[in-house]
Amino acid sequence: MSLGAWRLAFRRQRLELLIFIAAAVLVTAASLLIAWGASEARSSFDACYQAQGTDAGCAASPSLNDFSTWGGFARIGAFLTPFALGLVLGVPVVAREIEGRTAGIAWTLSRSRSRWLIQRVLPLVVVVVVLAAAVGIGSEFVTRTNPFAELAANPGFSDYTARGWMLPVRALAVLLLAIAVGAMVPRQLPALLLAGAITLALFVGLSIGMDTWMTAEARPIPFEEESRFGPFGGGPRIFDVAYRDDATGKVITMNDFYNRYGDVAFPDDGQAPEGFTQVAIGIPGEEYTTWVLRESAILGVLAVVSGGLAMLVVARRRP
Amino acid sequence: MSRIGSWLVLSFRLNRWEVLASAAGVALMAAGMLWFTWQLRTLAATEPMCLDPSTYFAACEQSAQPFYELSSRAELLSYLGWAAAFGLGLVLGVPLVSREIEQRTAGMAWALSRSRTSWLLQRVAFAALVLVSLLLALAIASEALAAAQLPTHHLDHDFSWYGRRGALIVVRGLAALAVGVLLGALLGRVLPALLVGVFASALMFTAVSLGMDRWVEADAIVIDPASGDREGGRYLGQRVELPSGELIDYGELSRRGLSVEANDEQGRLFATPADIGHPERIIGWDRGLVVPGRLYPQIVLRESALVGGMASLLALAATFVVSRRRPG
Repeated sequence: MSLGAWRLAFRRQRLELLIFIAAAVLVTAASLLIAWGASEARSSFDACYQAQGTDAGCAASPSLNDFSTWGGFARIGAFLTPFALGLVLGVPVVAREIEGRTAGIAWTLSRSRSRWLIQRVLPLVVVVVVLAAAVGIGSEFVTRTNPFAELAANPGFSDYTARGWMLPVRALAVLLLAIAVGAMVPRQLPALLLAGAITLALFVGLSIGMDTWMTAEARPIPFEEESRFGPFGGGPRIFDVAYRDDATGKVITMNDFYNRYGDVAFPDDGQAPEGFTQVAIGIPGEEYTTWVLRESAILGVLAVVSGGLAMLVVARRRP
Repeated sequence: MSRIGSWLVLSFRLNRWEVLASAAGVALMAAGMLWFTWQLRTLAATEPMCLDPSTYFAACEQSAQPFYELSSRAELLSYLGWAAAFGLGLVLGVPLVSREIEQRTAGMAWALSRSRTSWLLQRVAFAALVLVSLLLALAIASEALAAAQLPTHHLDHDFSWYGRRGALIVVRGLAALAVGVLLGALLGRVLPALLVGVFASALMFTAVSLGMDRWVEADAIVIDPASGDREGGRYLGQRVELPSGELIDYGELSRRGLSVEANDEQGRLFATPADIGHPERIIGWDRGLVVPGRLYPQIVLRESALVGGMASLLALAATFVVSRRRPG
């Protein structure tokens, strides 16, 4: 691709690109600042707590609660980024040319329609991946410096859908899907609404499907010694709580146990009934990468199918 | 065809996809709300005494469960109704001017009209008519759903589901419409205007909410949160009443270097658990700031006037922009 083709592709959507670049820089910078501030506040709080043996008078300003709240906002921003980027940049690639009746000229001037589409899409793919990755990195820091958890070394499944490389992968899939919808419905706003609805349905379906897959592969995870931030480290994905029979090793969910034995399931001392050990049913945080790879593969297939569909529609449709 | 008839037909043709999509969305949502309303009323009718929180019947523990589960599912629709006000306003408002500019038809349309202002008025009037009709249907359906979800509340004097039911949905939609028209006229491109419109609406809503919280603080009363009875009031936040009688929030408490780590049964706050039982070491009392439910109509009216005023200003600004800008 020539430099001129890149420049033209950016010019076509310069306003959207400027808005997104500004927003991504803002979200990433805010995330990094929040992460840094939270880390500093947590360090000074921990030092004060260890010195005094109590947290009285250790409150920082801004407080850990404030950083937790701001981190929540940054995570919402990160979660929404792939959808906003993909939909708003993807839909007009073909739809605007057809709506503005410039597609005929543009396609005639190109060597082929497929080549024209690739020249329009490739720069956008680069921009979308870079921006989503930047936001994903910022959000990764926010998660790892969560003031109320020990996630610095291994965040596991914490904030699964709002950090790291899931963001560029999702953004790419949504972008190609939106391009395909824009090619089929050649009016920007209706195409945006339709692409938004399809994206919502697809991602709800994907989320349910992934949960079902994970549940099928979930296994007992022992409760750790109660630490400051709960019974689990390493961010496992928990689906249920159960009891393991110490004698047979058989695992029975808390609900089934209650249905079978009644109130014995919940002893007053909060411990497991005699002869049983409380376990969680889930996926350990160490398997985060495997599951992200699996979801990325599914989204990759979606992206390839959407891209192929967009190419087919552009090759066949009237301008 | 009469003038009004041709205006309606032309306006519909220009915006048919947005109007049809909005109508379909509202129809789905309203139908969902009415279905939940019917289901909840049927459940409530079987064991009416189980839904009164002021009474307790052991037998109700199981029978009230399906009602609350269904009510919790209906909650999603109620939030969608809240978001629909902004969504519909922007979807109908943004393309009115921006599409004409983007497709380079604005010049001709403006030249053929008596004036740009009358052209804009005709376009906006149709969008506002459609928007108000759709949002009114949604407001009525959401009010019915809220009444079914909260059968023991007097919703005319109750802040529950504030902004997710009733007139505020319509007023907020009109403000979003004005934001959309103005940004569309300023930017002259549909999608960037929609994107900026989403940010602008979120900012405006946050500012109005914070402003309203400040405004109604003067009408708020101080309650003891332990009493648990807010009588449909609007909760503005937790406060600490110092021994001096001063009422401050927890942020201010932290800024003054005070930290609450313990409280006793009377809601008295102490720095450490060891201080409990030493009245001279008390930091203050736990308090809540609540706007009484009886002020609900008055507060809705105030917010409607504020948001309506903002919408009018935005519409004036849009008229100014359209009358001055280049058509391409």
